Formats: sequence, C-alpha cells, structure tokens
Amino acid sequence: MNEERRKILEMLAQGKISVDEAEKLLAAISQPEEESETGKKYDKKDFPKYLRVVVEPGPASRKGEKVNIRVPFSLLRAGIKLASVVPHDVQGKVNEHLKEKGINLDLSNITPDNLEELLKHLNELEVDVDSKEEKVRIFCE
Amino acid sequence: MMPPPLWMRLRIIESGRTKLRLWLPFVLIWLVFLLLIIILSPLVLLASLIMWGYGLGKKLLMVGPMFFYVLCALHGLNIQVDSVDSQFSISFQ
Repeated sequence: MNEERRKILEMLAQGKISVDEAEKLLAAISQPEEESETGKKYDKKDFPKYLRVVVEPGPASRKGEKVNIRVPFSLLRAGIKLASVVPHDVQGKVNEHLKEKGINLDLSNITPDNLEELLKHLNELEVDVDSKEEKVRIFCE
Repeated sequence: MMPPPLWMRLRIIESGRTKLRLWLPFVLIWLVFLLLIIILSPLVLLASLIMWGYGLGKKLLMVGPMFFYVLCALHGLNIQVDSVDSQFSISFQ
C-alpha cells in the first residue's frame, strides 16, 4: 500500500473526511499513468498535444499577414526517434552544420525520457509579443 | 500511436486567384507505401544482412517503420499563412 492511500485511509478512520470524499481521493490517485521506457511514470493529461504559433497583424501593419501554425508534438517525438536510426557519422555532420548556424545542440543526447520531461513542462509555456506591426503568440494546447 | 492522416489539404491563392487547391486522400499514399515495402523488403533484408557486421543492419531495418511513424505523426499538422492578396494553407487530417 502506498503512502498516499494510507494517509487517505487514516483520515477516513479519524473522521476527518467522509466515505464519499475518501472514494474520490482514492479514485484520483489511482488514475492510469503512462510508463516510459526507463520506468518513469507520466500522466497523459500532463502533456500538451500541439504547439501553436499565431501571428496577427498589429494596428500599424501594412501587409496584414496572419499566420496560424499547429504542430503536433507527436511529430517531434517521431523526429527524435527517426534521428536515433541515423548513423553516428551522419549525426556528427548534422551537428556540425547546426553549430555553423549557431545552434549548439547534439541531437543524439536527447533521449525519449528527456523529451517527455521537456514536453511536460511545455504545458505552461506561453510567449506573447506585442508590437505595432504584429502580435505573436506561442503556446501549447 | 496516432492513426495516419486520411487527407492532406493544400491550398495556394496568389493575387486573389486560386493557383492550387488539392485534397489528397492519404489512403493512396498508404497503398504506394505498402507496395514499396513489398517490392523493397527482400532488398532491404539482404542489405541489412550485409551491413549487420558494420552495425548498420538494425538501423536499416528500422527505416521503413520509422517513416510510417513520421507519416502517422503528421496527423493534426496545420499551417496557414494569409496576407492581403495571397493565402497558403496545408493541413493533415
């Protein structure tokens, strides 16, 4: 029996919570969790599904350009998995080219677990940039 | 895993005129993909056996399923760019 379950039962025994409340709490802690390859547990609800980029014209915009992009995070996961089958010498060349462009990132260092951790925290990401020309919003949903 | 997209919708409008409007059923691409797998699988198996000693055999075998995984992951991708006289949109549903 885990600690949370024991505490709920103790609170019920002490009369601090009712049977209904205890039932709800027990149901809440026993919701299905997704287990990753290395055994860490992630709740599916924690993960955003899409990265959204929305650009709207500001009051002084001349072109009136609107951009609406929705990228599923599953595409990012697939990309990382695809990168894992790329031979090491090719990965080295890719990393060199990325460095030349100013991106110092080694794709082989990103594991599925790192990615899940990153995605979990992206849930709270929200970037708003307001200027006279345009309004940019980047968020996850 | 997400199911593969059923449709790809592509629309390009320039100077107020529709240049391209395309509804592509992805089922056709699955069929082409399946045909390619059937045709190429003996060659890929042979190549992976030859390359196994160099440590590339397993990776070579994984390329096909990985491309299918990427194809499935396209489900829900939507890009839309509108300006005063032109529009571009592509979506996978």
